[in-house]
Amino acid sequence: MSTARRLQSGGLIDRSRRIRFKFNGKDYSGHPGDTLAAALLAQGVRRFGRSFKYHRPRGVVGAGAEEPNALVQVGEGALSTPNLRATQVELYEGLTARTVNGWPSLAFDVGAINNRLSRLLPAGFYYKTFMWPRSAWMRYEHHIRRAAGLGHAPSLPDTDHYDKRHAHCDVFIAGGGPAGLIAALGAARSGARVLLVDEQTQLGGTLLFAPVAIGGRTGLDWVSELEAELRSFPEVTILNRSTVTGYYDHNFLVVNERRTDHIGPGQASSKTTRERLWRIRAKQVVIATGAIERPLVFDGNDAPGVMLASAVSTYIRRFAVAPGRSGVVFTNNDSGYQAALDMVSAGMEVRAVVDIRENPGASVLAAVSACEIPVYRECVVSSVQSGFQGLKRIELAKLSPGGEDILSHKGLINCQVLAISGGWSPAVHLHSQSGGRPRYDSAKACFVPGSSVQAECSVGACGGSFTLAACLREGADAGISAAVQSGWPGGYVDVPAVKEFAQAPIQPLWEVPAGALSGNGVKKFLDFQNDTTAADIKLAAREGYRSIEHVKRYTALGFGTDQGKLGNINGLAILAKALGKSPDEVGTTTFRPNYTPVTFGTVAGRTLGEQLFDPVRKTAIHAWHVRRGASFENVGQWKRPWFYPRDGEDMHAAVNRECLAARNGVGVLDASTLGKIDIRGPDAARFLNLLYTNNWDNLQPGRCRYGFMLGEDGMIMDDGVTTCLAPGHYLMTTTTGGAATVLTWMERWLQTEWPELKVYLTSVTDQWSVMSVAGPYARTVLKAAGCDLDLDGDAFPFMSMQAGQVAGISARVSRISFSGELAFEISVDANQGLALWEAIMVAGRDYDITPYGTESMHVLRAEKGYVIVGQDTDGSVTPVDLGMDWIVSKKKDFIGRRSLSRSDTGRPNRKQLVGLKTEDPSRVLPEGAQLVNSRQEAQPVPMIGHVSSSYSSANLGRSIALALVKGGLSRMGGTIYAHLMDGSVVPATICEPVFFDPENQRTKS
Amino acid sequence: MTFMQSPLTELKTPIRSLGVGGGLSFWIQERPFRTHLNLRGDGSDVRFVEGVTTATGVVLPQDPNTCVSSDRWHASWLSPDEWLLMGPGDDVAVAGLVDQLEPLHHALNDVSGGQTVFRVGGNAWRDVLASACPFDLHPRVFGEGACGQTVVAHTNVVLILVSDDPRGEALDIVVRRSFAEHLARWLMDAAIEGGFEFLAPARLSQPRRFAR
Repeated sequence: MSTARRLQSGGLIDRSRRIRFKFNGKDYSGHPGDTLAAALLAQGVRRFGRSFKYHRPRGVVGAGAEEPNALVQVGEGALSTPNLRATQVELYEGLTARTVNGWPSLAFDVGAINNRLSRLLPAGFYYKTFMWPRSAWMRYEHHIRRAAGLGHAPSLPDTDHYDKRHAHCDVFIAGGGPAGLIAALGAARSGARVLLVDEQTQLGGTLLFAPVAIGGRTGLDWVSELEAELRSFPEVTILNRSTVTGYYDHNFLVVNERRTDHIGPGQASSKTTRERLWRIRAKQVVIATGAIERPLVFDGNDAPGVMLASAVSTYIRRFAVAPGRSGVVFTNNDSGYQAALDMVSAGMEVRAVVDIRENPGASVLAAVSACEIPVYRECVVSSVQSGFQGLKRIELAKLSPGGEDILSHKGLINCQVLAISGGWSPAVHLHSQSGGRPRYDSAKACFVPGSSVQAECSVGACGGSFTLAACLREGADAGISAAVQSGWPGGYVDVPAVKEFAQAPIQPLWEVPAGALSGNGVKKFLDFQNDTTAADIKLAAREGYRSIEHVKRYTALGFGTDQGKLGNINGLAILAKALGKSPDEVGTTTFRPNYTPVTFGTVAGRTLGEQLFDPVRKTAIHAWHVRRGASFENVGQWKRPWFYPRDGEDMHAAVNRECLAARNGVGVLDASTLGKIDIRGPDAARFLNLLYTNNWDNLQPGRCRYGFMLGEDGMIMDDGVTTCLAPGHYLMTTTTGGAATVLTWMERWLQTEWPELKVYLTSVTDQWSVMSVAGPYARTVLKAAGCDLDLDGDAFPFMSMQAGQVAGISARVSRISFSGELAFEISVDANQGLALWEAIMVAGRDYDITPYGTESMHVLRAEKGYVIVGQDTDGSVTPVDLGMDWIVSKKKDFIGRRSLSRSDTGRPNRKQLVGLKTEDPSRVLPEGAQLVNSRQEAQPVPMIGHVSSSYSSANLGRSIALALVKGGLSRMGGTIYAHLMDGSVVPATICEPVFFDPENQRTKS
Repeated sequence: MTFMQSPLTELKTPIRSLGVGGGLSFWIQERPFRTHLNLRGDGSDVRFVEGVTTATGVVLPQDPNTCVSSDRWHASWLSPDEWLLMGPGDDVAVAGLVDQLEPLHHALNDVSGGQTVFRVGGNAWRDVLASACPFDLHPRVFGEGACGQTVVAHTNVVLILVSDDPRGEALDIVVRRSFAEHLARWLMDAAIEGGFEFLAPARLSQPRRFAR
C-alpha cells in the first residue's frame, strides 16, 4: 500500500515495526503508536463512512473521543465491538474493522438518495412521517435503523472476562494533560493518595502534539520527567486507557479501564480481564479534562477533508501523517493558526488562513506570515466543493460587519484539507454530572464550569483557561490545595515557564452565511452523527420549540454515540439567536454519564452465570439432596429440593409417591431455609402483640403459635410459627423469601416508633438445620433415632417445643405441622445438620422414610387449606379474606389494624379464599387461571377471581385448587368457570378450602 | 463426638491456580468450627461490660468498627449494641457468660453453626477484595484493630484485620453459612489473574464441644 501521506520523521510512532490490519475487507498497515484513523489517513483513506440520515460520505473530523463520523465495528464474531471511534482504536496485528454505516457498501449506498430527498426528511421526521399509521411504525423503524447503520451487537456470548475494582483516594484527577499531571504531582508530593486517570495510550494530553517548551525542555520530556516522579510514589495510581465515564453523588466516580483491547483478542491470558470498571470514592476531585475544539457551521462543512484544526495538528505531529497535500485554515481564534504552521512543517501547501476576525493575534499572524501564507481577515469559507473522495475546493467570501451576510465573493481555493476552529468548548461533562451548572462566558464564547456542588474543581482548558501557562499554574494550585483539603500538609511544585503564543480574543460566528456555490441544498451541519443542521434547529424554533431539551429530542441534536461533543454548543447558540436569547438563557442540555459508551460486559463484571450472578444459598443438607438426585427449586436465593425422582419417575409420579408416603408412612423435609429471628427482652411479648394480629400475652414457655403479620395497609405480609423459648425469649420463623424483609421491618418499628421497648432481635436463620419428620410413623422414627424426649401426645402436645437429644445431637424438637400430619420439626446446629439427617434416614429405613420436596409440601398443605403467603396472597388479601377472622384480635392494637376497618377492607364482595373442585376430577387447573361466572358472557367478561394454588392430590384421588373469588365464602357449592389459554372452559365447584382431615385428627394424634 | 460439617464441605481443598505470571498472590483458608456468639446489650451498662470481661477476658470495644482480643476470645463491634465474640470451643466461658448476663437485658445467641470464617492473605489480598468490597482497606484506614460489616459479592460479611498470622498480614471474613460457598467461588474467580491457593481448612486442635 502507498504510505504517501506518512512523514519521514517525527511523531510518536515506531517506524521499525509494521502492523497489518483490514478495513472494509482491504489490507492496510500501520505502525505501533498509530490509531486506526491515523493509519488509514496515512494511506490516503479519506472516507470512513456515510452519514446517518442523508448518507453523505464522511471522513475523520477529530482525533479523539469527540469523533462523530469514523465509527467502526472492530473484530469478528463473539468479540466484535460496534461503534468504536477509529480515532481511539489502537492498531494491533490482524485487526479487522469495518464501517458501521453505509449499508450495503461504502461505495454504493442506496440511502444516499435520502440526500436528494432531504426536504422530505426535516427535523422531527420520525414523528411527523412514520408514526402514522401507528401499526406500521415497527416496520418503518426496522428499515430506517438498518439503513442508518450504527453497528451490530454480537449475537454470540461474550467470551471475554470483565471485572470491577473499588478504590478510594484523597485526590482524584481526571485527565493526564499538563494541568492534570502537575496537579497530580502537587498532591503526590504532599503525601496524598492520588488516582490519576487518563483516556489515552500515554500521558500528556495536548503535549502529545503541541510544539511547546516547558521549563527549557520539550513538552514530551517534561511529561516523561513528571510521570517518572509520579510513578515513584507508592500512593499514586495511574490508569492509562481509562475514561472517567461518570461523576455521581458523594464524590463517587466511575472509570472504564480498557486493559487488553489494544493488543487484540486472544493475545492476553484468558485469566486477564478485558475491561475493568472502577468504582472510586474520592475526597477531592480535580477535573483536568481539557477542551474540545468546535467546528464552524458553514455549508458543506461535513465533506471528507474538513477537520478540526487540532486534529490536523495531532495527525501531523503525533502520528506523522499529512492528511492531504494542500490545506486551508478557517478559524475565528488564534489557536487555529497552529494547524497552518503544522501543515507547513509537514510539507503541505497551505494556501490560506481564513479568519473571521478583523484583528488576529499579532504573534500568530507574524508566524504564518513568515511562512508566506496569505491571511484573509473578516472572511469566511461560505461553501465547499467536494467529490467522491472528499474536499476539492473552498469558496472564500468577505463577511459583512455584523456577520449576517456575505459582502462579496472572493473566489475559490483548491485544497484537500480544511482545518477549522470555531473556538474551544471546555469538557464540562464531569463538572455538570457532579451537579454543577455550567455558565456561559461571553468573552471566551464558551460554557465554563459554574459553582462547585461537590468537592471538585476544574483546572486548565476544561475550566476555560486556554493557555498552557494557566493550565500549569491552576493545576499545581489545585493539586496542592486538594491534598491540603483532604488532610495533608501542603506540598510544593515549581510551575515552569513556558513559551507559547500570546492570544487575541475569539470572535464567535455561530452560523456562516451561505455562499454562491450553495444551491438549494444548503446544509450546515451541527451534529455530524445525526445529520442535524442549523436549518433543523431554526425550524424547531419556528415550530414553537423553546427548551433546548425539547429541541434536542425533536432534532436529534446530540443524540448520537458521541453525545454531541462537537455540535451541541453550536446548536444551542443558533437556537438562542433564533429565540432572541443569550446562550446563557438557553443553557446546555444535561451532560449525562457515560462520557463515552461502556460495554455491557464491563457493567456486568463478574456478576455472571449460574455461579456468580446471584448467591446460591444452600442448606447444610444440600449435598445429600444432590446425591439423592433431587430436582431443585429456587426459593429466594435458596436452592430447595423440589422433588426426588426415582429411576424413571417423572415429577408427577415422584410427587404422588412422596405425598402418599407422608400421609401413610413417614416423610422428611429439609425445612432449614425458613427465616428464624431470635426475639429477646422483657417487652418481647408486647412487641409480638404489635406485630401479629393475634394475642401473645398468654403463650407459655415451650409453646408455639401461628401468626399473621400485616402491612400498615392491613394486608398479609408474612406468616409463621413463633415459639416461646423462655419468659421474654421467642424464636420467630418467617417465610423463606421474606426473612430479610421481616427482620428489617421489625428493626424499623423498634428503632423508629417504639424505641422504648426493650427487645433485641438477632437473625439465626443460618444457625439451625431444620427437618420436618411427618406422617403416622413420625413418632416411631424419632424414637428409633434415639430421641430422649417423651413424644407421646399428653407429654408432647401439638404446638409445643422441647429441648433434648436426637441421635446424640442437642436439638430443639417442635411438634408443629405444615403437612397436616403428625409431625416433628427437629432443629440442630447446622454443622451437625447433615449428621442428624443421615441418622433420621437410617432410623426410618424400616418405615421406608421418604424425603419429600417443596412440591409435595405444597400439595400436602393445599390438601389442608394452609395458605402460602405470596402465592395464595398477593398483597391485597387480609386474614378476613382468608376466612381466618379468628386470628385477628379485637382486643389489642397491632400494625395494620386500623386498615381492616376501612370501608374497602370491610366490603362484602372482596376476593376470598375458597377451595375448587373441578367437575372432571382428573383436570388440574393451571395456577393463575382467571375465573368467571358462566361459560359464555358478553365481553368484557367480568373477572371474579383467580386460581392461586392447584395440584393433583394422590391422597384424595382428584385435583384440588385454592382460589381467590369475589364473595367466595358465601358461594359454597356454586359453580365457577376457568377460561384457559387453549380456549377450553373448565367448570369447578366452590368448596371449603380444607380438603383433608378437617377435624385435624392427624396433627393431634 | 458427632460428625460435623463445615459450610464448605462441597469445595474440595486444597485448590491451586497459578496466575498469569505463574505466581500465587492470594490465599484463602477456612477456619471452621470456632465458637461464634452474637451478643446484644447495653454497652454503657458497667455490669454488662464487666460481665463479659469476667467470663471471656475481653473488654467489649465501644468505638465503631474496632475489635479487641484476649488470649482466647476476640470481640468485634458490630453496632452500638451488638458485638461478635469469637473463640475456641470453651463451654466454661460460654456458661460463665450466660450466668453473668442472666440478670441483664441482653441477647446472647450461639451462631457457631450459622457462620464460618475465611482467612485471606498474600500480596494481592487487598486487590482481590477490592473487586467486590466497597470498604477502604488501605492500611491507614483499616489497620490493626479494625473491623467492619459490609457487603462483598452480594454477601453480608464482617471483616476483621489479622495482624498475628505467621504468614503475614491477613483478613478474616466472617460469612453466613448459606452464602459461604458463593463467596468462596467469587474470591477464587477474582483472584485468577494473580493466582491463588485455597488451603485445606485450619482446624482447631481442640474442636468445640456441643454438650450444652
